[in-house]
Amino acid sequence: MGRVLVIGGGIAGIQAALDLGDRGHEVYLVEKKPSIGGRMAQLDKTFPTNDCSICILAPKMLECFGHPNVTVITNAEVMGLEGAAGNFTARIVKKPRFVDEHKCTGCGRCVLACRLKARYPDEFNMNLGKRPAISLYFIQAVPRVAIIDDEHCLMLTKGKCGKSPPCVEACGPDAIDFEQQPEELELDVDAIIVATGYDFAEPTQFKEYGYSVYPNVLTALEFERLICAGGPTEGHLLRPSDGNVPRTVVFIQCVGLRDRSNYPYCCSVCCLNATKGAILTREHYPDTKTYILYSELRAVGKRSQEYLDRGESEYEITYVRGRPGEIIEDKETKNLIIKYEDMATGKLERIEAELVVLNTAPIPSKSAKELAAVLGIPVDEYGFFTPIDRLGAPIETNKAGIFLIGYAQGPKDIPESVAQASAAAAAASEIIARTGRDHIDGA
Amino acid sequence: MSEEDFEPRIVVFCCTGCAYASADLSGATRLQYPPGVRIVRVLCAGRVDPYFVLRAFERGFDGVLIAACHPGDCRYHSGNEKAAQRVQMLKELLGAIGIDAKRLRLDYFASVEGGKFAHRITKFVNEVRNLGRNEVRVERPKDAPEELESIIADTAVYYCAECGKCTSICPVSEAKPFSPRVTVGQALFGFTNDVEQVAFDCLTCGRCGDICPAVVDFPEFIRRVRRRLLFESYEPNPSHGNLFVSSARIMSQTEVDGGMRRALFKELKTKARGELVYFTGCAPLYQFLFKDIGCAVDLPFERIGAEIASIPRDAVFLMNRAGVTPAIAEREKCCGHDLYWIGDDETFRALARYNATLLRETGAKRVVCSCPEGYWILKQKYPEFVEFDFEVLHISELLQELVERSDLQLGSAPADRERISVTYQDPCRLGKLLGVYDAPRFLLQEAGFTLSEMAHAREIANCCGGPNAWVGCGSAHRRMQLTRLEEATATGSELLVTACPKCQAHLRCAQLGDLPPGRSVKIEIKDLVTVLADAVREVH
Repeated sequence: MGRVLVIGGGIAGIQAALDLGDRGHEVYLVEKKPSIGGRMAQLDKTFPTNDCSICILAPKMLECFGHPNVTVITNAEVMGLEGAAGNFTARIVKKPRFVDEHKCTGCGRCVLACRLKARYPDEFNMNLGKRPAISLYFIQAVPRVAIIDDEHCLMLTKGKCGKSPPCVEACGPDAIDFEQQPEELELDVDAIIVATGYDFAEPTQFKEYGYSVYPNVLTALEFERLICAGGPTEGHLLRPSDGNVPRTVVFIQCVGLRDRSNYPYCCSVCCLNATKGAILTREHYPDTKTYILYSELRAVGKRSQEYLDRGESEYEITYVRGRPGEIIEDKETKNLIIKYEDMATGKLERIEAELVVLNTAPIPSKSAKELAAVLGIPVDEYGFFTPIDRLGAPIETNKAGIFLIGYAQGPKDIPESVAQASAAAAAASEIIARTGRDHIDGA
Repeated sequence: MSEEDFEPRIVVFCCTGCAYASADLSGATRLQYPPGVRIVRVLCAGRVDPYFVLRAFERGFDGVLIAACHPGDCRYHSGNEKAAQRVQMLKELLGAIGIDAKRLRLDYFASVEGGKFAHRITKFVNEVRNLGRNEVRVERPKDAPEELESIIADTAVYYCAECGKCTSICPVSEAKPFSPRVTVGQALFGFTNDVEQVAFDCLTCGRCGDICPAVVDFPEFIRRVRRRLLFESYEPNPSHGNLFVSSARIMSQTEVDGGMRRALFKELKTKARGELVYFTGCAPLYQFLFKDIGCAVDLPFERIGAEIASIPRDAVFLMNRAGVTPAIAEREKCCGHDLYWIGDDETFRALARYNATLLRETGAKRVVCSCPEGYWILKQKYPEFVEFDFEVLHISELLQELVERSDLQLGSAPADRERISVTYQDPCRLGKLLGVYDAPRFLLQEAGFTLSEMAHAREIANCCGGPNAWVGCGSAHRRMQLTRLEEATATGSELLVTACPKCQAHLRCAQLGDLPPGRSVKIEIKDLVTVLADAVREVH
């Protein structure tokens, strides 16, 4: 049996790890964030079925974590790589959590005890919620282990937290360890699967839409967190300026995408994602009007066009072709006036929206370039990892034994990422069989 | 033909009531006058727009005579007096752009003065003959007009995804039927005529190019289409009668003297050579031009009250205050901005070459401009056309540098001085095309003003509605100007500051005349350097 390193613990990485584990290979799943789950964990629903995203993902996360053949290493990054297929040595640096993973039960008492209550933006909730200096990354985090924010924790920044840190007092199993140091691991593996996913382009760079200037302009993922029952507003779509439910929500598509000066590619998901958002809005608030301002509707894949059609007929979403050129805020109401040319009529139009959702460009994970250098594999002009042959070998790289899956290698949706993950698991098994190493008997 | 027996070509504008009758009488009585004289009948000498005169010189006429009724005899009451004022202004202007002012004359004739007409004309022709030829010739493009296909390819028009983003923010689209997207679409279909018809509607403000996902360079597309039209000698319906373009074209071929700039800076510290050169630009010309702008509505410039000729003085004043003595290239010519935008590359190149050489001779390393148009042209376009390797700065950038080095003190106003709230209009050349947004704001705040921004500011700032390259001012422009002024008054500011003379002129112009009821456009408008210089004077 062989060993495989999976980099990135999103849905693709999890699927690859599970497939390989089930096949009897030893898998190391390395995740940069404190929990596995990735972007899918942040979604409320998935298109085109409106399935609860975390309900599909959480069992897989737990299965992966509890799998006898899978070792999940969170809060860690791959810093070095040597060797070749069948004989890689990867150097992993695991950042300190300041909480002992083996002792912590994830009870959350420390989170309630921390004296820096609800102060710091909650990354998982796209900074819409607030958390203390010790927190669980999110409620379904796997591993369910608290993490201390070393930028704010008083013990870590000032060396003193009242008479004694309340988190330490609250912690039954005595898991808190302010002395924890970065840990370096060396893993011998036969194959590597890269599944580092995506980040989003900085929305403030699209000045015409006033993100961060106007409080009621959100990104799609922020919207997702608001409409999600597990999010900071417990699923109530409350607009940031006044906490009211918006009566008009406008989704703006292709923000920074299909744009020759920014990201010329099509993200392949935002038409359906916006439709999903509009459907969810209408399901929550049947009186709220929803508009989708698109460049072109691209509903590829099974049941996608039907999803759009249902959005239009059943949920009365207004689809308008036309990219708005600017958004102006009404200073008093904080409503947003969106100017666009309706391409069907050629007329200049304005909509007054109470909430605007920008579908900003998903871009390769911010550390993808560094990782590419570490692994010695190429990226394309946007920073997506490049497979050796898009048609013949879509998941293979120029370096035998390293495979690419999911959004890290280019725009795709969840089912495609999962399919690629299984493909990569199969390809990695093939490498193990070919190189013939047997770690169970030998090493 | 040798120089001695060259026959001057003269245009004589005769008013119908008196001068034309006297010319007629001289003909009827078979009096002789030189054969190079061309008579143009106008209803009144007051109808002779300044650009008639400039156009004549631009086309190579050797002299212009305006023949009016005797003072007091005008059948339109005061047309002849108006003509006299204009001639006075024009003589100053001609001097500044390198045409001998003696080539222009105003004379008065009664309808019975046939003999006097022939006599005076002959005398004028002889005087002009002594001055020699007017060597100015309009240079028409020599190569063939560019095919629309190649313009399309160069400006990425093919990439247009028809998303409508451009039209949704185009200030012109809001004021009249015009759409960058539609124009681009027509070009792709090969509808050349449709494209050419709207070529002069675009203000080239660059808002569309800024946000276009397909990165279509629409302003450049428009410029190249305009250039095509130049081959057909098509000149658009120009505002101010193409006065500015004519002046620049004449200047490109004459010798200009430095008198005007010397006089402008005479109480300030400047030098003839130095590493830091202040490029004055055409602002001093405005003192002549705008005494009477001679456009259709004929607004005497005093009524607009724009303070433009003083901008260079205030700029140099501020530099002096910071202990900087800029060098002035006294004999500098027009930067060519407007010519560039109508596609007259030939004249533009000639001006660029001249100014580049002049700046090199002045010893320039850094060139400072106060006009955003000149700044953009020098910084971005001169290096494309001629050898030009100077560092080009806007006055606001230099002043910010000086304030940050503590060489210049704008603030420390007396405690009782009210903090005036101001709003700032981003000129398109300075903002959108060159990204200078912060320096002017920094300076205003440094000078103790409270800055409140308009709804459209910085990257999304709207155009002042000024007709670009002074082409085709009309109702749509006024609409844009009024909208912009309303945005400014909505901020509650007392003062609208801009860094561009054209913004100032056009926004002030829009404040004149009857306004639609309920529109509030009353706000004082001043140039950035004027405001700063006033603040400095007030403090010290």
